[in-house]
Amino acid sequence: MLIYARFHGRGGQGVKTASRILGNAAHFEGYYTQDFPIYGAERRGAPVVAFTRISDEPTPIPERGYIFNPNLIILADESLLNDPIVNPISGLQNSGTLFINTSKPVDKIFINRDDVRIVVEDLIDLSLKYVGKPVLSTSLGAVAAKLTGIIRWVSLEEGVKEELLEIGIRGEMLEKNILLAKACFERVYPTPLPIPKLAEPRKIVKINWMPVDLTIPEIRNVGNTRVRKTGNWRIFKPILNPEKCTRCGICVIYCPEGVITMTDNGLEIDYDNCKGCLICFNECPVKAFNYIREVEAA
Amino acid sequence: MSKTKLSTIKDLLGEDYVVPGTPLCAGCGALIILRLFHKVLGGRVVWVNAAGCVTLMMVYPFAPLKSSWMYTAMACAPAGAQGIRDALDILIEKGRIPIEEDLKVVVVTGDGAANDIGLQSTSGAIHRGLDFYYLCYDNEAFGNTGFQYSAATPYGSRTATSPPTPLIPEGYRGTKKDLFEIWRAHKPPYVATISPSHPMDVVRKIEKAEKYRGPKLFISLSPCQPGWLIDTMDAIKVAKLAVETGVWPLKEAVYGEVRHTFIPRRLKPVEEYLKIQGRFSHLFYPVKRDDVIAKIQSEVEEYWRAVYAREIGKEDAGIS
Repeated sequence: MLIYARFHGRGGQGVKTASRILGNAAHFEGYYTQDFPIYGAERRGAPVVAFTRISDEPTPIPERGYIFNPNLIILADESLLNDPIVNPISGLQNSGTLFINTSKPVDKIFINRDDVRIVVEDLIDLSLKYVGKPVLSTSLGAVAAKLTGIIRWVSLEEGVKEELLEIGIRGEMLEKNILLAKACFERVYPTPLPIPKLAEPRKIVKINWMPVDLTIPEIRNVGNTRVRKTGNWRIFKPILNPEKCTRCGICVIYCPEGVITMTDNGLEIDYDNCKGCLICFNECPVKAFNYIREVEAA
Repeated sequence: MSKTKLSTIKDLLGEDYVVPGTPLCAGCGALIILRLFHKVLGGRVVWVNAAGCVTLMMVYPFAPLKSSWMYTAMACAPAGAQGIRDALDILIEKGRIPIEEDLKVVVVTGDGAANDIGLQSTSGAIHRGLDFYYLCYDNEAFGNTGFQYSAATPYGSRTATSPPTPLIPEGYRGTKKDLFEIWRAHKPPYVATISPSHPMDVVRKIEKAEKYRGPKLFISLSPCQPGWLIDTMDAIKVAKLAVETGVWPLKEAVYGEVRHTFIPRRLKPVEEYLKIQGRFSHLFYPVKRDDVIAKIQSEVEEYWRAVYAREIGKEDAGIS
């Protein structure tokens, strides 16, 4: 039995740690395992991918490198589901399992595949309830461990402890995370996963000589990042109470993204690009800002 | 934007030259300072950027700046600035562009490039008297690659390469390099430290620097949420505490003459600054390391004693 799990999420959500928790748990269960993220420049909010391979066979795992044909996909952020660049469900095998962290029910999830099993759960809600922070590492790892169907709770508990101690989480926080893992582990149930196809050896592509001006990228359309809509990074949405606002302009200066603008009718917030850092909420001298969870705002 | 108008925050609410949608972290301190810097300098600017977090603003084919931008390797941003400055000077001299179309050349680098890798080319540029601005956003480590320690990392900070261990429980054992003094030793027309939490201080310093021809250098504290392990909303709060506890003095030096632009009437204890940051959490939990905190506090007090003595005339004016 081979488990090829791929984790999709955003930087800072704990996707890499989740893949390591799953790897640790499988290791404590006595299986061969590999776990690794795609590492780039670290930025909160940017799409990230991490992988875990597990084999319960007596021979080591025959493959290395990225997983292109997973049988289990864990999606930490629903906003990535239809992102054409990330394309999180690419390569998912027939009758494989797709887990989505979302507050929507499963019949409100639309993907262009009808041969996969979709599991949904609102892990942010659970994380806020048990840990008090919207960090998904433990919950994603626990859900993934359960969905493999071959990992017992004792091994997962060991795995969570090992990983969190390594990144410096101790004491009360560790206890809370274990409770969260237990809750997530009991929330989902596994179905048998298909046997993954081994990837075919890749062809080496020879790159021909190129003139030097083609290899230096130039951007001539300046100031065009507005179309990237970083608003989907948000977990909390700042709300302005216009009656309290004195138009002092402090939030306009302190907003890192520059999404707050002063107009003749008061402040305007560009929610398409607001990343939800809440500096405006924290720094407003008259406390004119409040915030709510993004799902409640929708 | 006319320079005489910038006297209050409300004068800064005009045109923005950095548009939203950058791929930088939510709440990034470097972005706050970059946006403010650009607002005060106006639109006619060319940025020369050494590799660092801010480089990630430009991910092909997207650019959040309304001005020009050039990317250089980590060591040679001031050398790139020299090339651009010379080219502009020659074009103006030959009459190929009118003098009104001149651009301000601004180098923007992180603390890694400013303190270690790019120090020699900066030193060369200051020595040659190159007419440029230098903005160093100091998040006190190599934040872009996963928060490894740099020469700007302060004593006691946890970084990826200096984790607190049973053998070295205090984290980073080195001390922060004093970049301000290194730059000041060259006696450039203008050097200053700034903080995003004090925007009007930043404005006044840039306005003052604009009067001089030659190197105009700025070091800004830049809170880094993933590295400092703080809440995204706390960036400004931490920067304010850094100034009020005396850890990050706001000062300027004109041709080597130092003057502090913000002298706290009473210094807050550094503990207030340390305890809200996860990178110092090992000094408080599981055992409170009073010795390490006292060492940081005494270094800050030693610095401020000299400042109070020189600028107020009373050595322990703000030290309780």
